[in-house]
Amino acid sequence: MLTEYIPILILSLLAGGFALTNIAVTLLSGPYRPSREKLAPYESGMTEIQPPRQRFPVKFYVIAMLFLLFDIEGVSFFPWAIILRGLRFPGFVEMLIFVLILAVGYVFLWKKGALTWER
Amino acid sequence: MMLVVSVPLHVTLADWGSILPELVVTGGFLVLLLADAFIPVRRTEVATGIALLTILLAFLAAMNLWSHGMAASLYDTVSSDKFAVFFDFVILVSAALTALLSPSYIRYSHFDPGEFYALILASAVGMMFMAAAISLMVIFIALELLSLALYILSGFERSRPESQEAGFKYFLLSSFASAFLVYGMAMVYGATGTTRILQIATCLGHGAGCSAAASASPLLYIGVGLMLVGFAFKVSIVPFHMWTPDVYQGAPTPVTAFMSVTTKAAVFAAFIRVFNFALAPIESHWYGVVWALAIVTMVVGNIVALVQTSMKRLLAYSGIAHAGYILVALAADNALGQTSVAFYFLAYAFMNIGAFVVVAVMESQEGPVGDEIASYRGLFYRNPSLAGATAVFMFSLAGFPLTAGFVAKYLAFSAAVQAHHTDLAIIGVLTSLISIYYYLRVVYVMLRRPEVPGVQSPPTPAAADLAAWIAVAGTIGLGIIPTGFLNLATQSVTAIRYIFGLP
Amino acid sequence: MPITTNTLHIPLLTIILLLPSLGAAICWVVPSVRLARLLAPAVAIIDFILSAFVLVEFHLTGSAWEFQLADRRDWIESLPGIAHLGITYWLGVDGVSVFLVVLTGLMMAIAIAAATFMITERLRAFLILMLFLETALFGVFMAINLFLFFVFWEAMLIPSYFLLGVWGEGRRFYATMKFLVYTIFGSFLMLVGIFYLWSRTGTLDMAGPSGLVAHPLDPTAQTWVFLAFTLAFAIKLPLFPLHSWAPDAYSESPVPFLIALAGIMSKAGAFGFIRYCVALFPTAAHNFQALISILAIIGMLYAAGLALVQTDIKRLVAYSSISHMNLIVLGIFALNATGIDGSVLQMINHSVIISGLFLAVAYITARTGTRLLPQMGGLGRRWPLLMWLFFVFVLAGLDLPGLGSFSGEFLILLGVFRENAWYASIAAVTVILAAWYMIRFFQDSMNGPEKEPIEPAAEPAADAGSVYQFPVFQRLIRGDLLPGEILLYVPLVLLILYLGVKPVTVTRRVDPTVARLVTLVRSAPSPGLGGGP
Repeated sequence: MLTEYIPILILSLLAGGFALTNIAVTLLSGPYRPSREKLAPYESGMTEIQPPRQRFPVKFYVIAMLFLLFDIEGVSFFPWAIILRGLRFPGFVEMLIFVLILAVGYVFLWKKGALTWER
Repeated sequence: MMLVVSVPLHVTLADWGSILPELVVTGGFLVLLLADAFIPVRRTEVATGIALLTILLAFLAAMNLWSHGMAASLYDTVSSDKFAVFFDFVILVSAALTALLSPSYIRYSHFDPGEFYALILASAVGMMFMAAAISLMVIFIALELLSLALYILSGFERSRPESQEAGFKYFLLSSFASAFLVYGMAMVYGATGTTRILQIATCLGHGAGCSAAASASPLLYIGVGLMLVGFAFKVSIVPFHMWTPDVYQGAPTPVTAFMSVTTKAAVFAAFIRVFNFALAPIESHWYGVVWALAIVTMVVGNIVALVQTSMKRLLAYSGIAHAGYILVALAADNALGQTSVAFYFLAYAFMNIGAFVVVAVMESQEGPVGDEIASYRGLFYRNPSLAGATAVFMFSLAGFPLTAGFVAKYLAFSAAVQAHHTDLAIIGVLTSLISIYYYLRVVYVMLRRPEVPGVQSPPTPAAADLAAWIAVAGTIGLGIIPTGFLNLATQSVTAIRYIFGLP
Repeated sequence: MPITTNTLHIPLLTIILLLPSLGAAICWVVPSVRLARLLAPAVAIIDFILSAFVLVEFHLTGSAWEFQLADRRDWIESLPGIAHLGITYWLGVDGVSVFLVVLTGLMMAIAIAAATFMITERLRAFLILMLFLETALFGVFMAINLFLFFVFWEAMLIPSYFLLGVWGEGRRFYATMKFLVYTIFGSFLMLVGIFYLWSRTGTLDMAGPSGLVAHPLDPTAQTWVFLAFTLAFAIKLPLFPLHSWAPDAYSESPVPFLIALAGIMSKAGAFGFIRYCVALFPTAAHNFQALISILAIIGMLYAAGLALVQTDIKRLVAYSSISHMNLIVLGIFALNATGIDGSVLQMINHSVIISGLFLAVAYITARTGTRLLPQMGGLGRRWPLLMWLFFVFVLAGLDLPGLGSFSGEFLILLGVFRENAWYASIAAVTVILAAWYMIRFFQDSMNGPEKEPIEPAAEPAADAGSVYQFPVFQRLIRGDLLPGEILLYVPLVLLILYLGVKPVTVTRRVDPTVARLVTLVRSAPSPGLGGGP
């Protein structure tokens, strides 16, 4: 039973090996002479005025979380779509209810100002 | 190998009807969200009203379900047998008491009433599903639903660092425990080939529908152990109880009141379904572990409670001790034990939430020191009726006769005696003896004369007062005439045992 | 096998049991304290009259161990299809408990009447708690189902906790906690015993063909359950060496509650010995006869010795009470009809005398401002009426023939003598000691040089209440006994005189029940056989 998966294993090994080989070959064969300018984030641009690592405003996280939530809910449409024919009308109603629940959440977020960028 | 898509088409209206109470509460949750977004004025009153109305409707739906329940519905994942409905009652009663005690606390700590009640209802849905679940999957999903809502609720008082700490601690530790639980479930599935509780029981009982080696598989026992850890964590059984005092103390008091009873009720319902029914055939393998856990829980919970100075921490350790008593009934693994667990939670809902009503009132009147036991000094002189109610709850938690706590504890221990686990009953009685000291110490502090004589407390807020009276009536009523409610518990256990073919 | 009858066809016992609670509820809702103050003693007196009616209705049949006026109702006897819990609401009185029921009615009426003028602070709450306590006490003596008995046994503690904790004197918190810890420890072990009995027999009823008395346990099991029960009763009594809560609790209690505590509640322990320890575990009772007798004798002498050296009169009376309670246990564990008859008689006498003495302590303290004997003297010349009434109780306390306690103690000692002459001879020494400390109490307080009363502090405590509540009184009583104080003494004195003349009124009715008990013990497997401890 597991033998069916051997092609996948071979493929992953090939893909991983290709990437590793490329990195190894460039590291070993190429010259490596670092200097301050070369290591700067933008070698040919302006010099940086502050370290690039900073705290993001929390708004980004909120948006990311909301995106994640609705995205995952959205994914559940796909299996539903595949078996919709079998589910017939009740299945359609069920999905309507599901969308309604999502919509309530969306409206709530909107009214609460979770989507407002500037406040 | 072809993937076979078989589509069962048998979700009927009756299926949906069997989860009507849950649906009603979900509806209430949605309405609350919308109301919270669109209604600007008098939001506490409106939100409390909607929450109470929802609970009332769900209660009526559950009452209807009592006589029309289905043993299995929605592809054998959910059962609306009387056992589930009985726990629905417990959860709804607790939610109603919580809704009554909350308004004054919400005003005191200025948090958003709509979101608060919405989350309470959301976790109530999770709890009701958990009590009704007959599939390991649904147990897990319900557990996550109730936990997620409770994580947020624990950290709901954002201005207080303790509350943030409680929310975060609860989240981290509890998700860890959830991982244990789901891992254990996966292994049990691996061993038996099913996630349905009834089929696991059949498989382990006489090997029907699964490989004969299932009940000897090491996978099964590792899985059972992991599941035990998961459940034990959620109902705060020693040594998985570390989170309980911090979370109970840090969380807003109404939340603590709610979760201290309902989480335990819901998880114990699932615990019973899994351990007393699905895993009953291998009882000899898990009994020893549960036996030890029960003893350690009763001893540690009661002894550590002796030195607490915060009322909420005291009640947290008392909750741990009570989890131990209930575990004794579960370990008995007989009909009387299951009946007593069901009855215990009804009693516990009244007496424990009652005790938290007092804490909430004290906090909203005196600020954060209202949680200190020392601040109860002279309460009998300042506010006699509140102090009297506290005394009733303390006597009941300590297990004095004529209160619900005594009947519940008596039944739990007699179940152990009936199952010939007399050792558990004796240790239970002796540890309750220890508990008398710390419960009565609260009463004792209230009896001391106040430092400043002649001061009266401001009147108790009407809704909290009502909650306290209901809790007092429930505590004493169940203590003197438990017959009616015991009959309900008996019927519920008879129903679930019938499903599993047990006498 | 005890049988139950009810020739009256009305649930008289239930009415008596619930009337005080009903009265308490009414006292709670009536608008004024004045009304409650009238209502509570009225309820208690009506209840006493009803309980006296129980004595009238108690028939002498003599043929069997019979619980009369029985009232049985279903409570949670069984969970259908799940378990038989054996929990019923079943009341009844036999020859022993009928007297304790009447005694409870009388003493609680006196205690509640005393409370109406002795307690001023939060009087309504005090009366309500006393009435609840009365229900619990009645329940203990009436219950013939072990679960019901245990419920009332524990329920006694709840009002007691408050009565002692709120209205107590001096170190009331220490006393309250000590009292609770001791008694609850005992009763929880009893609960374990009850569980065990239930698991072995499946019932908790005393009477009836399937009752506990009809099916004794095997001797080994009897030993353990007997010890569990004994501990509970011994603590309540209090039996030496489990008595150390009692002097503290007695000396800090408000006197009306003390009448209930020393007068009735301690008898519940002795009653428990007779009803449960002896009847349910006859073999074990026989095995432990010597041990308990010796403990009782030590306790009698020890407490009497301590009473001799007390300077605090309330503690003196407390130790004398402990001494006499130990004598009652000695009588019960003679395990013959004479001894048990004497013990029951002495239970009544002791209750009456000790209440009278504690009332006297309250009266003296309210007049002298002190409880210390060296600070008193010559009180008799100042208040002759007090002296003479007090004298009656002193005489009764030292077993003067012709007064109540003489016949009781005589029967006890006679019963013990038949079992073991040594025990009886040593026990008799306490009679001498009793005479000694009683006379000393009387002499030092009533005779001798007059001393000035200790006036209360110029600045009375902020919560100073009644004159009777030591040590927070605002003023002293100057004159001789007040009418109310005399009125409390009247029934007590009459009872002492009556029982001194006609103790047979009691023994005649007690005898049939005790005879059955003694038969049970005598017919049980003899000591040592079948495995003792």
